[in-house]
Amino acid sequence: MAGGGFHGSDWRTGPHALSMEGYQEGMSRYWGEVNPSYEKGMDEGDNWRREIPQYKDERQHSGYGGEGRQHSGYGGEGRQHSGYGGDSRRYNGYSGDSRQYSRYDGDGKNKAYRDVDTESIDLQPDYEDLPDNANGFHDSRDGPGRMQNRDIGDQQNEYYSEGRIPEQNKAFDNEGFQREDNGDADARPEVFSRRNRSLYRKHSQKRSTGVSYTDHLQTIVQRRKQARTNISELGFSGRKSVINNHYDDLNDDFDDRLPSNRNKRTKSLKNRLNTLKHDREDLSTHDQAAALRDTTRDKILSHQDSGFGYEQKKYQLAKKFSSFKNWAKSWIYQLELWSGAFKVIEGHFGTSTVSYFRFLRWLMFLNLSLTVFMMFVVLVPFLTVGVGGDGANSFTDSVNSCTSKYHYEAIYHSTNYTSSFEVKNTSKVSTQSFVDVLQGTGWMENTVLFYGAYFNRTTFSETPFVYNMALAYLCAVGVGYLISFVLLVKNSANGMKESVLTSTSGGMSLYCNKVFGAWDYCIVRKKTAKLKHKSVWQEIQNELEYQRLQWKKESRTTREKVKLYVIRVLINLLVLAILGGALYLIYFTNEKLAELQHRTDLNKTVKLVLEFLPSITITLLSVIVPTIFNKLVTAEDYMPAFAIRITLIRTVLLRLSSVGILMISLYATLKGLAPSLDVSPFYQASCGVSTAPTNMSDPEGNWTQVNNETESTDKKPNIKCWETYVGQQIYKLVFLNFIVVIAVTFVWEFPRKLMYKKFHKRFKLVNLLGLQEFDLSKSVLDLVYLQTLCWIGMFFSPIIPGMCLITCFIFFYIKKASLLTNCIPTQQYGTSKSNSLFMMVLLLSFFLAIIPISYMVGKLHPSQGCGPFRVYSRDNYIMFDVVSNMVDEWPSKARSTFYFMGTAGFMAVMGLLLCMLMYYFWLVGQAHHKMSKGLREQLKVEGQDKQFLVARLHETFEIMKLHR
Amino acid sequence: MGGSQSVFTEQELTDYQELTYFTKKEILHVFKRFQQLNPDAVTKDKNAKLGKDEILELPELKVNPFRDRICQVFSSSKDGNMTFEDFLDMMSVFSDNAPKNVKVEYAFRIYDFDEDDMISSKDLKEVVDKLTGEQQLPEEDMQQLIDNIFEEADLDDDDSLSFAEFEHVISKAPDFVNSFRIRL
Repeated sequence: MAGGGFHGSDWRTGPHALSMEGYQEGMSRYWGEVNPSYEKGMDEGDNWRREIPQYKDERQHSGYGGEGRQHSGYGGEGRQHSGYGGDSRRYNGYSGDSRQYSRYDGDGKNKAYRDVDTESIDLQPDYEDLPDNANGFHDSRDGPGRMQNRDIGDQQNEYYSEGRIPEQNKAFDNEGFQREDNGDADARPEVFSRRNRSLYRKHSQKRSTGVSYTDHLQTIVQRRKQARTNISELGFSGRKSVINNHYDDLNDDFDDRLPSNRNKRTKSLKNRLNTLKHDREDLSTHDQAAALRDTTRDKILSHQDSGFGYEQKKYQLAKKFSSFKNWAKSWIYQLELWSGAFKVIEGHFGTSTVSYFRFLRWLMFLNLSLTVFMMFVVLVPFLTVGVGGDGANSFTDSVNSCTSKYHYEAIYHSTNYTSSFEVKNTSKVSTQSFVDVLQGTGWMENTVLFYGAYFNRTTFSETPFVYNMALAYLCAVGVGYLISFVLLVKNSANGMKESVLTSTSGGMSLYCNKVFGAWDYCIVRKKTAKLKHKSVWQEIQNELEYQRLQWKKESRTTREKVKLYVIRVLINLLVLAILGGALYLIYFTNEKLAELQHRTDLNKTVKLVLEFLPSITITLLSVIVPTIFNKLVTAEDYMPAFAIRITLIRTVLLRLSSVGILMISLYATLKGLAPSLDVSPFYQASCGVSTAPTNMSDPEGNWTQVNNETESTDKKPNIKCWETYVGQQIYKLVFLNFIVVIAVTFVWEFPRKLMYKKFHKRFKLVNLLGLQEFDLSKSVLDLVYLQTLCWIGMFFSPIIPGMCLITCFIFFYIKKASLLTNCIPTQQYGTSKSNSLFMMVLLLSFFLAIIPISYMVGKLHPSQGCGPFRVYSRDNYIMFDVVSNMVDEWPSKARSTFYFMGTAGFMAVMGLLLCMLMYYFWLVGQAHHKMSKGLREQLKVEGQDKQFLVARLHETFEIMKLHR
Repeated sequence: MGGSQSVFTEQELTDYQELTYFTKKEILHVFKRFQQLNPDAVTKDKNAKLGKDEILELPELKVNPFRDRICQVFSSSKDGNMTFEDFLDMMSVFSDNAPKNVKVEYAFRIYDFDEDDMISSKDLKEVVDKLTGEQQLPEEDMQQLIDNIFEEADLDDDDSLSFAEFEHVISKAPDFVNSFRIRL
């Protein structure tokens, strides 16, 4: 077949095998033919030339052929297509090339082109905009020209993607190709225009510099050769000659022309600076263009896709904004908290450890905003707005007990409550006050620290003003949650984006990540660097070992498999059992606590221990159980990465469920409380319509009487204000957490370091214990736990966010000090993974926290003896009634809107809308996914194209050398 | 900082700010760090060219296994010596604010040891060797690793990574952006 197609016009109708299948087939065959003949031509030397005239029949190629041998390399492209199994899509791309080629290349030779079929000429106007743009830079040799080249390429690009493809096809396909083309119109334009671009650039170069095409070719080939075959003679001299000879000033352009380097080589700062200066001196439009290109990358981008005034405006705005941002940043740069500390930690321990501290700082800011918000909405108004105008300072003084039945009840219970802890208070010794601080009891109980102390503040001047504390309280907590939620989502979205990015496009590239992302450029300490070397080495080896394991795993026998699975199931059961046991222990201690609390025959210290029993249990469990999990997981024979993750999940489960169980047991305890006494008879007695007002004169006596009655019947724990009780529990937990962390640091970590330093040479045991490693996941979980407590406790004790804020602040310094003095660097997680994982865990714990709170607000009756909600407005009062009461005062339209929003119909519509929105985004996501897949495929094919082209170029060059 | 304020004119600072990812304050900070490398020479002439050895005194570079390559890539005179502008350029690329594509570009140049615009298996071997430092990977491990990398990244099966391939694979290597930076 080699020479067959070569006999001039014969190929179209000729007797050879290719003629039968019509034009389309013929065409591709033709290309297939060109190449062999090209080779043949090479073999036969001058024969080739002789045969050229036969080409004249196929006009489109006459110009092409007429170019002579030099371009035979491009004929070679044809082979590629046959190599691709007649993929006519690319085929087209190439025929487009050849056309353009003749258009630009041969000024004189173009005549042949002009004679081409009319359809081809139709096309010309479309192409005409190329030279228009191009004119300016044909004689400029560097930067600016290059930039415009690129521009044109991209214009073409756009132009092709704008849907003009079909015409284009028609134009240069001449005949029958269209059928196949329309099918894959989406992928072609890119290929096509890229081709054009690179070829085009070559030719413009040729014209502008006067350096012959062959020489350029030579350089490219040399450079390629060096990369591939390492022929030393061509290789290095090639590169050197590029630098030293007259191409020198074109050096950048060389790089630029190679497809792989198109994006590469931004100029050095110096060059850019020069360009900028020139620009200022207003040298020429080209320099300006170059400066434009060089100043910022995105500038270019915006220029390329602008062309509309709107885009231009947008860009200008963006620029203004960015300069403002720069200005702001230069201030923030100085203000950024702990950036120096981060740098130090990063230098010593690498970025993954620093992610813990970033997380800590983030939590601190979160708590700061919560604290500020709570302070300004709840605390400050409560303390500043006076009560009753006449200096009265407690709830009982602020309201008239006979306003309503509920007021009466509230006053009754409040008095009951206050008197109960006044009794407690007076019986205590002064040393007790320290214990009170730990427990949040005694004198602390009725302060603004806890829920119980709050009530509606009113000022009576001419116009009575009521600060609706109940509403403010609810709003403060609600908005606090909202703030947390928004911040959380915003922060975890970043991580999500990253993880989605890596998961959808065929997974993370593990080994490349390990190699190219391995070195932490922040490291400054020699020791750390050494460790890093070691850990990289270790990691790579592990990974390879793991791969081999995987290979082995595929060949695991059934028996081994069964054994392994049995072990795994057993261990998982064991884990569940441990979890269950731990949770029961927490529940048990909590229940016992409630039971024992009001027994009076106990020693004080025993009582103190008892008080802290649940908190201690939780804290201890969270230290011990994760260690067990860590040991267990090794027996399960998971892959290392998975093992880390599953241990983390188990630990999180433990931590969060222990908080959950705490809530449940508290709830159970409180539910078992004696039902509050029905005081309506007393109300009727003291304020009722029929009763005499004389009863009012001695309310105290009345209530103490009631008190005594209750006292006698109450066998349940003596909890008068359950909200404050819960608040105290959480307060204790937060406090204990704080103390434990500090204690562990000073009593265990520092001495351990000292011990190791002193004795590690003498005692094996100490050596075995070794130095401490920073346990990232455990530390993070500690923080998550703290934050969960903060979210839950926020409602019961408005001061808890402030406590967490301080805790975070102190933790930072303690952890940092401990880290820098005690710990040795470890490499546990990839940085990117860990951060999104933290956020996910935190988000989970957030939901865990708000579920009980929202249940409480919506379902439980607040206690009548304390807190802002003590005055009921109806019998089955819940906290949310505050909001509905307020809404009832609104104008009817607003009110009906509000209630409408709560109806099932509205919810259904909203749900539907959300679903539709989600579906839409899902679809978009799918489309993007598909596109990325396509693009990847294309990248692959491009690479092969390029490879082939380079090989052809190389061949051509070799042949030319022979002929010379 | 007041002292170094006068070193640059406002115009120069604006130019630098325009061309790097730094603010003016940060640029002055960079200059301070540059000055620390060789106080005498730089105080005398702010455009002094510091030798490679002096540049490598920068703590981050001192321990960096790719320090020679970094100097080579950022040196405008291609001999590893650096002026302040080169230094600023380097710090700008390594700064937090530099976009990923810029970082990728320079990373490619750093890892391309023989400067042939392709990361071949030889380059990769060099990279891994530098990374592991004193410990050397056994020959077959190295081969396995390189095979794996090419498996992941080498789309066109030419046993070397072009820039496009490198860029593509880096987009799936999330640790890269976090690690490829030097904090001021």
